[in-house]
Amino acid sequence: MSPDRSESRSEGTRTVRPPGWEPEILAFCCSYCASAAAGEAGAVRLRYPAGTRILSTPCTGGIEMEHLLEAFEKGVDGVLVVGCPDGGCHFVEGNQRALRRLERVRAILDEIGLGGGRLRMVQLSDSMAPAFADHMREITETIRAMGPNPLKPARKESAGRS
Amino acid sequence: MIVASPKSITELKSIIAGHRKVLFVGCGTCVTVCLAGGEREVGIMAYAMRMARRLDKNPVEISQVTIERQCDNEFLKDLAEPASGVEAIVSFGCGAGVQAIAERFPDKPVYAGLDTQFLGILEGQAVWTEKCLGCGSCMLAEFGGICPITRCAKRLLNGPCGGSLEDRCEVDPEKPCAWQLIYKRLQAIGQLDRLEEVVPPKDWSTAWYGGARRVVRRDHQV
Amino acid sequence: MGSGRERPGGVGAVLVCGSGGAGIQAALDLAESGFRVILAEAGAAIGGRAARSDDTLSGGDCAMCLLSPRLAECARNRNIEIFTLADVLEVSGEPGRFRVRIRHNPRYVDPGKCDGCGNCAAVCPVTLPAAPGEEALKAISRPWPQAIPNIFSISRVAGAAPCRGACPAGVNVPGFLALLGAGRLEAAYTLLRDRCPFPGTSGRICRRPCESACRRGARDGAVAVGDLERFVADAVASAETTLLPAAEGAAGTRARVAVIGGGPAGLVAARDLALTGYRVTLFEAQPLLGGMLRYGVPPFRLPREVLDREIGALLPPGLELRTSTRVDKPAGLLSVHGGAFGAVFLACGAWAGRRLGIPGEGADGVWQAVDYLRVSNSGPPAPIGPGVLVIGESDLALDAARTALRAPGVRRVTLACLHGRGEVPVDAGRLALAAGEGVEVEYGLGPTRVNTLAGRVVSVSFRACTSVFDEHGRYDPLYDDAATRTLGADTVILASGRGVDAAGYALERRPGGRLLADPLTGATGVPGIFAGGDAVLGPASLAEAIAQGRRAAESMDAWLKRNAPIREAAAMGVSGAGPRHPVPMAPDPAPAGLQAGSREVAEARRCLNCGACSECGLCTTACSAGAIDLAQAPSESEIEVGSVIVAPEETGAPGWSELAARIGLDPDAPGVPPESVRTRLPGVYAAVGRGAEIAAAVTRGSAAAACAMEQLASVRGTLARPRSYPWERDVTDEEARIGVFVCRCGHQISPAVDVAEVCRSVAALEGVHCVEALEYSCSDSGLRRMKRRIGEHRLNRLVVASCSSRTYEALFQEVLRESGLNRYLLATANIREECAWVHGGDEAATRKAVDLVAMAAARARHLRPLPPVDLPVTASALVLGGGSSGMTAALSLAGQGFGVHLVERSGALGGGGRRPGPEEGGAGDRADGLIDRVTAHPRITLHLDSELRAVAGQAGDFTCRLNVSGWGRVTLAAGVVIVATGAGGENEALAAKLRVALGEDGGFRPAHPVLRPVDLVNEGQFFCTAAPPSSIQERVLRARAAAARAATILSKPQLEIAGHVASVNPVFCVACGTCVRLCPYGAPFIGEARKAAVQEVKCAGCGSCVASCPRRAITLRREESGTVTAMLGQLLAAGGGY
Repeated sequence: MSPDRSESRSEGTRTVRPPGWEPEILAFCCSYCASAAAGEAGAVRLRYPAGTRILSTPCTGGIEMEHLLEAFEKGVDGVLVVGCPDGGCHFVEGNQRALRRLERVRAILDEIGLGGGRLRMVQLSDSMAPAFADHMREITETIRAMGPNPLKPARKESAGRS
Repeated sequence: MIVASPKSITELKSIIAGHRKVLFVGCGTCVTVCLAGGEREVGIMAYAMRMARRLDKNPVEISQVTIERQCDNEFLKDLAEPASGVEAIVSFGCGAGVQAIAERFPDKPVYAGLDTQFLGILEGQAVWTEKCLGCGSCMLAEFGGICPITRCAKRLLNGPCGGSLEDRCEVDPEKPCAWQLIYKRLQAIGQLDRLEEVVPPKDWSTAWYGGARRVVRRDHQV
Repeated sequence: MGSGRERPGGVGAVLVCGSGGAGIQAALDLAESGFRVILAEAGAAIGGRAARSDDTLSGGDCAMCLLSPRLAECARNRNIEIFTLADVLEVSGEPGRFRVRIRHNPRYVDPGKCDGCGNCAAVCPVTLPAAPGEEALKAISRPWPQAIPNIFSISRVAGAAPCRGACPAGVNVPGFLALLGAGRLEAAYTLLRDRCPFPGTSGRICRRPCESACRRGARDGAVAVGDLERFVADAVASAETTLLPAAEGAAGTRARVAVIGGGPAGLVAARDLALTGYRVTLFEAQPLLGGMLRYGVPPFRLPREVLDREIGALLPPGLELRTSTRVDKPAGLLSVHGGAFGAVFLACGAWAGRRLGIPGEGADGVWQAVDYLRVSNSGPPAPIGPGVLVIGESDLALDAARTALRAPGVRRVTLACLHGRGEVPVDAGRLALAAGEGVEVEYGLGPTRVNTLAGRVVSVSFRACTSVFDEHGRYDPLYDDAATRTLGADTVILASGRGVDAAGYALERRPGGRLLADPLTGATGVPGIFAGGDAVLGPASLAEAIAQGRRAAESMDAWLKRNAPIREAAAMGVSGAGPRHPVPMAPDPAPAGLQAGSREVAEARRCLNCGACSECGLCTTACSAGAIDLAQAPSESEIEVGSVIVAPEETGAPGWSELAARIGLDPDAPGVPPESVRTRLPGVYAAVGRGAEIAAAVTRGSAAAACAMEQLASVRGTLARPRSYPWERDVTDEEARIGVFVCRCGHQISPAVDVAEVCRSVAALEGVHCVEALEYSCSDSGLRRMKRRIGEHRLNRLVVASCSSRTYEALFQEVLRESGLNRYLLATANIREECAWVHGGDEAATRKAVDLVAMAAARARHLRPLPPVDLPVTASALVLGGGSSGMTAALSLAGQGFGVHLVERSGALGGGGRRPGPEEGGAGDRADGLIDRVTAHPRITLHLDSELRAVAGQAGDFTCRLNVSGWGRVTLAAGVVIVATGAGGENEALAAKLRVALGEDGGFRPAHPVLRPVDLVNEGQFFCTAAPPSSIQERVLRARAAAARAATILSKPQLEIAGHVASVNPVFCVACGTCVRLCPYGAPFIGEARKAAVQEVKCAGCGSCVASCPRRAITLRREESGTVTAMLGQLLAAGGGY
């Protein structure tokens, strides 16, 4: 049934891709550079996959590690953290904090066998809308290759919502 | 304060491998301050454990609580309720705390979630260094406030070994030579003449050899 | 020049003319810094043409999106009064105290009653041509859906439609065409019949002066009004149900009137009099009614069933008909002369054919055309010989000729015209029709004698007519007697005019026998006898006859009321004189059998709508609020202001040159020097836009506002109305009651996102008590609706799903505050930029929108009210850069009464502008003049050889540290920071200190490229450095603009700051010091209680400490801890999401 099976020891999971599965990506975006770039991407009608959801936060430095872990525990396939470039953080150095924390969470994800590749941080400035769209596309494809999060609960299609 | 560091996920996972319902206990004092066993760190570990066990198709139920100090019975009583109904407890306190909990709940396995390291200070944000071994008979007055027992790799009491290079310890060049520091300090406080005194070999009987020590203060017991 | 000079007194109000980008910006800046503003806009709504455009501007927003919240701000600002459809007529007085006369043009809609429902526009049949790039609007319209004010107005050019003026009967031709063009057949018919009771008849025989006057005729042919009229009449008649309204009689009155003559004039008069309530007796000499229509116009032109039907539908019951009755002495009918009638209308027509005055005219076989036709149309055709010669060149002649052609026994019909070929004064189409049927037409012949044999006609002799009219246009035919012809004929029909046979009437007459009647009232010399129609006008048209009949009825009614004896007046009861009886409206849609075909509709749509509104009356009926008022007239008002800002969208804007002339400015270059906002008139400033370049307009608007602020500095605040809000309700103990508003954003969010589906899905979420879709959430009506729902459902949280929250967050926060709620109980979801615009066409877009809104709702559940923190504002500015920009900004602010610290890194002022180039002029703007004024100004503190080392704090309260070379350090407090450095390498360092980003070109980036071109992204920081090298005037403009923007902060005694600050729970805090060490702002500290605490004014709300605290003891005040967890939970709940 599944078109693609691959084994990856470092990830420790067998990837099984159910038909119709689209990668579910959660993007934590800082409300300065990242949100502005996301807005600009919309304004010029760039396209990126609709499996992405944006959660806005004042600064990536305010993202708690538990939130990232919780997202994965609840089944998100991939998490992208989008922050300001080095030296450009509106809150001076929040992005640096985020980078360090993400390193740790990635290490945890690797160690437990989920795969640290599911978590990425990218940095861009508010005028870099094409880069924003590119990153959303890239992570979607990266996750597509990695397969769905094995911790994803079974979900019914069109349950209660659309 | 006591400085500890978190155990690796792999190790923790193997520690609780046989249990399905575990309580993680954090401590709100030293290990919180050294960012190892406080509420947040315990939470992170709990996430990691739950996810790892689900990936193994062997889920574990983890409850969490953080108490003010694990080394004090006054706070341990608050664990009674959370501890009932779990198969095992992992304490994220220092080694003392782990053992305190174990004594309190003798019928449950109590494991350590941290590796307790040393008595030390905060050198800078998220950097701690060991300062004191707890030898039980402090001789810091002789050394200008710098403990050669802890900070000299060879535990020399009467001067440097002579192998330091550019103020760095011969044994571990990452570390400063303790005797260099002692010399500079004694010079700064005008007590260089102490160096001419010979310090006799240390009486280690006050240290941990011979089992766990005990301190009693009768004047405070009533 | 008068800048900065303070006048005692003066009016603390400013008039802004024009509400494009510049006008709006000037109005907002002034209102926000303590001045009353009167915003006068010539159009029906504020925003100008830019706001109407759907074009995508830089930044990706359409003009609508950018300006709409600004317009809403203007509407909601208590210090801005908006006049639309307002023309400034005159400005008099002096700076500080101008008197302005304003004309308020009618919108023909009562603003107090119109609720913007749009029913009127839905039924309006007239669509006006659109300017390029704009949407076509109906004649009654709202400029765009969220226009402010949100009221409809009618475009109407009274008297502009030539067709209507050309019709003697006053038919509302534009209205008729508009209704038909909209497919509304019955409405068209009813409107037509209101003025023309014989539409089927007139559609066939009317000379159509409307078509002759039609403006379209000069382009590609007049609209075929007559044919359409005929079509409509026939279509309505063909309907199975009787839609022809039978005229009803009016009750009550007993007065009797007589109408003599059953032609169109007499019929209309009789009907109108009967409907007014009179008892009418109609006398007609012939056996049947119709007059010329029946006895003159042949049946092949006007079918008898059409005529009979229309006459039958015309006359109300109760009217006494006396056909075949000739009245020889009309005066005898009058009651004063013993008769039975109070008044008499004489409409006997012109039935006496004019004699030619040539020998043989009276012979056998010679007919007058009127007689011939009367006989032929009454019964069997008149006997006429095989060869027929018709002499004449009128419709009558053609009718006679064509009738003769159809008569039995006739083999040849010839028509002899006086005029030459191509000059015959008859409709060329009809002439061609006759010729096509076989009438032989001879031209240029004047008859000389009728030749007879034994008393019967055998031929007619003619001489050539060489010209008919003399050089003055008078009728004076010239003949060539030598050129003669003889045309044989068995019958001669003379059709050279008709006169009135009224010998026995004892009334004054004109030459030709026409009765003499007053041109206005139709009264003759005999009191009580009125006359009209052909009998008075001579051979005239059907339309004129109708008009005459109607006029006569009105005159007679008025006369009778005045003169009636008291006895009869009492018996008369209610008089019907006055507004005419409304013709009952036939029901729509059309019943079976009645279709307006595409051809007819298309023809009707060719109408150019010369007068815009066609006055068809549909909107009046459709408006449930009764707001349509076509009787509105212009009015005038006078206001007093301290200064005037004119802000046309561009020099070519309609109405601008007239306004400029009225005020006394040069419309092409009102500024003096040309690029400046100052004009030759002190106190009058010009912020002329550049069409679509809104950013330039906005800058100018601010610059002009700065000039006004300088001028009126001493009266700032004297007329301003402070904001007042209701008491804020404490919601801490209330469970969350969330109102969710999902914006369609016109076509921008829907249809890419199924908004209805989003609403349905969100309604079931916990805490949601109200869900509504809005067309434009940022519009005035959208905001009002939110307020209404908040009140209705007692909501205490607001979720708005719309576009990027940056620009409009403040508006939604205002909604909360005005509803008595804390303004921070707002969560937003961006379903436009982050969803509709990037996933359009993807089915998953709607699901994503649902998730985004659900996450926002989860966030909303955890929001906490934030007590506002009032920060006292330091009323002075820090200006960095001592060049012409910096000096201008400094002088402007100092001129307004604020302190200024002007910081210059070199040892002297002047910067790059020290050597003024040839391009500027105008004393006072040159750098040299600036330096002197800056140095002398008491409120400007100069810091030379100084550089900014660090700046901390926020808008209203900046602490700035300067390095003074060779001296030391200086610390200053300032409310705002203005960057006025030149383009250069030091910008990078400066940007880092200010914590702003530079653009790719190395220049400072504005907070918004179009709407906030001189604001930096941080509140309270502005810049006037323009990246490309610019003229000194450009620099001065930007500097002034920055000053105006700065004044909106400095003029306030305090600012309410956001309060998004971190707060430590001391119960959990172990004073580990992590937060203290981490915070880049130095906000946390270990306090006296040995626990960490956060200094609110320093906290920027980034949340780093929140994420680092090992005890999770810190939260951002605004949200409960666990908010993100709740949002994740909402998003990823098993069984839903994604």
